[in-house]
Amino acid sequence: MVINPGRQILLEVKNLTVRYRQRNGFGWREKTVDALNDVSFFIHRGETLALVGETGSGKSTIAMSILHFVSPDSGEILYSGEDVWKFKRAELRAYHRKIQPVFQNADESLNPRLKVRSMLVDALVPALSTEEKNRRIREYLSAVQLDEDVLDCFPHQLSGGQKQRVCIARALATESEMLILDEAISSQDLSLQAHLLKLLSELKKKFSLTYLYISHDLETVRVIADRVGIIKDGRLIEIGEKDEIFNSPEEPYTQLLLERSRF
Amino acid sequence: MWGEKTFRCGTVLILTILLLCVCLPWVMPQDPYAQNLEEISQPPSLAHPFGTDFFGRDLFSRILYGGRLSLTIGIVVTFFAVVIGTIIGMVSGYFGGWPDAALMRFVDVMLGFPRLFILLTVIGFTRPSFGLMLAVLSLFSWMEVARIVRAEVLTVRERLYVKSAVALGLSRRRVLFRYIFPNILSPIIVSATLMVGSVIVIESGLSFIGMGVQPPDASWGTILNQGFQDLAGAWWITLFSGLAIVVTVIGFNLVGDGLRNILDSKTGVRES
Amino acid sequence: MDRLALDVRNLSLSIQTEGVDKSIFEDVSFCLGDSSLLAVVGESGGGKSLLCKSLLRLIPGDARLSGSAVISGLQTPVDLISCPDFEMESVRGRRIGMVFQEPAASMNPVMTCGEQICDALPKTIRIDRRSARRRTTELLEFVGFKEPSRIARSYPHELSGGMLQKVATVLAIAGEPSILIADEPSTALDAVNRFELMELFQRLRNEFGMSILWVTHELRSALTYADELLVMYAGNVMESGSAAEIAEHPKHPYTKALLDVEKSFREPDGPRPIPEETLPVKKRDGGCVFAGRCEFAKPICRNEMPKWESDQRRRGWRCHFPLK
Repeated sequence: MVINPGRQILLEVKNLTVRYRQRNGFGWREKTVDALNDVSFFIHRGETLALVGETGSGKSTIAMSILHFVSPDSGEILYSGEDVWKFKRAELRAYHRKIQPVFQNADESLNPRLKVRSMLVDALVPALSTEEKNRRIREYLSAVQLDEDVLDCFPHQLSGGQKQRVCIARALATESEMLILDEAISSQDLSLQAHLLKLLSELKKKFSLTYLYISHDLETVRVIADRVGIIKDGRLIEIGEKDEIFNSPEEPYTQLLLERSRF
Repeated sequence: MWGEKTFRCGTVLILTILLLCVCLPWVMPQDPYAQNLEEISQPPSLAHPFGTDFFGRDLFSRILYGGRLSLTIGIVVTFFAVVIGTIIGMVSGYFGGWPDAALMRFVDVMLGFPRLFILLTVIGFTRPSFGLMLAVLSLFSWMEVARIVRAEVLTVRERLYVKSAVALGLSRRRVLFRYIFPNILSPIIVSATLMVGSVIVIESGLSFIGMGVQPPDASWGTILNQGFQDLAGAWWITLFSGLAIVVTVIGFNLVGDGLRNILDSKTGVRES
Repeated sequence: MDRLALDVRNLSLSIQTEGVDKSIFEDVSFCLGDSSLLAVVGESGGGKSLLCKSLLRLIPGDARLSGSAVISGLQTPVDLISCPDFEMESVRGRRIGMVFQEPAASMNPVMTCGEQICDALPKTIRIDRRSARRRTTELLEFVGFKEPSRIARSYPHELSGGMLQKVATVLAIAGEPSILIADEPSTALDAVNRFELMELFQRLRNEFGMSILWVTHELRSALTYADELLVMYAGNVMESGSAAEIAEHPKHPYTKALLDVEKSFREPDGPRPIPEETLPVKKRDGGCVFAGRCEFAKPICRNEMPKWESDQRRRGWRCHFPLK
């Protein structure tokens, strides 16, 4: 791995291994399954790294580990050089605000009992004045191209695209540095995917964000990524610049993925 | 909300009973304690719609007065049980680890005691009183709620909106009260309404065997007990006090079931 | 197309929400030919998924369904919309199988895949354990598993998404139905698995003579694999016809817009979405449902719903100004 000296590494994952303990139906036999096996990669500040793999390949476990929701069995996750899994509670809360997830299922990611306004207020720095909060909410809403009418809606009153935009707005509102987009747009239809891809690249420039883009779909990866990593059966089998991966993939699985791609 | 039929029936029933119990003692002419030895054990008539008891007291008035006690016990005990159960369940479910293990073992221990026998023992050693019964019933009724709440918290805790809230850097208290609590409220409310009915039944049972409310105070249980002393001769005493219990319990259960339907369909939370 | 497997006429569905009838889809008619593949294409929210569920009557009780959907084939014809519930039970799984978008959610997590498949087999096979096992192994082999007995012993969470979707397909075909309804089966799959699943569907048609109704939002792959297409938007059929003709000359601007979006993903300037709805959905009374996003829309499009037109070659469209 060559580290570009001119750029700062924002997040580094070192030898990450996560095992799940599984039981059969009655819990008699127990076995461990490697969800992730010795995965290492880094993300430069301001870059979009895409991780591609099929459902169950472990790519979401990476996201969950980075987000401090699934603890690694071995390995480290370094954010600006600091080990995320050694943070104290206050540091962890500060870290969480810098690194925000957007999940596939927008329905599931929004509290059904809160209006959009309260959700966004929760994401803002609490110390702000009410006027400043309202100003920022408007700013973030317009950044994700939503009308202000949605503020007084509950999630179930919004369309799928609107919900995903609310999720993105909420992720921005914490003044985050990095978004983890875990299949964030994959289940949408293509026109909406196109909208969101465009939106994401605008936001990246506007708020100088770093993206970890996790997907099973190479077509959207081709549009958004700078570098691409391929995950198969819990291992990172190949990682490199987008053009390298798309033009001269080394691994047979990557070649097959490209060959079978949608178009 | 009003469109839900079960809920509407239940609410009308409960409100009627509450209204009767709360207001009618002022409107009703007969004093429930006034004994009238000339009208002992009268069957239902125009003057006494539910008849009279062995001391010639008007049964209708007594049942309404008794309802005050029975309902108070039902509601107060449920309130305390739900508060205790919710707090313990939420702490247990949200924090997990050793607090969870400790609290749940405590719940198991509490459930291990047969509630009725504990009540009998405690009351047997002291003088039966209204306050004591409230306290003991409350202390031994929250376990079910704690378990329901814990299970719900465990499910909701894994939902992505809770994870997203954690990722917003919100404090644990805020996550618990703003993101988890409102989403487990409906099972709590439902189990609370169902509980009121069961507490009333237990109270009646205790009073029936003479361990609850003491004469001359009346609760539905004591009146029922009285009726049993001469079931063949004065059937109406048993019938009407029993009916009062049954109707109230049904009313609360209807409200509970109706609320479940309403809360689950609203906001599309459980819509498939 | 000589024989029909499924004949759907004027199917409409509306669901009551807060006292108001909300139309999910309206006046949908199509024919599914014997051992052919019909793709229903459109964006999410277009009513495609509920169309599938309606055919099996897996819809909420307060939904109002009208029209007819007759399955014929070798057995007696049955109208799926009006037949009594007990008859519907013998249709589900036995004459129509269904595959869903999320295979993990449609399987029982505490039973092994093999047990679940055995349960779905017809009674005549299920009656004998050995024949049931043999059949399970055969089916798993058929969908491309090299170690069918290992798969049969696995629980759903032990398999990857692509494998699960194949197991789900086995579940759907275990009851030997003649029709398969697949609701976005490939959306959550990566390119390799998607390709394998579509190849599997082709084999189901060729070797078992199954007729497949396939719902997808990817027009391009629909054009590749399907014989016939039904393009839906906001609960209305916009265009229908053979895949070859639609690929060459889309008649409806919506079909063309969908094709353009897919093409634009490979362009250097990045993907170009279809412009978003300018009119709130509630306000479109009478006009064409796509008018708010259509680049060719004229005033008449906003005021008058275009009629369904069709030519001799089973090609139909709903547009005032069909593209040449």
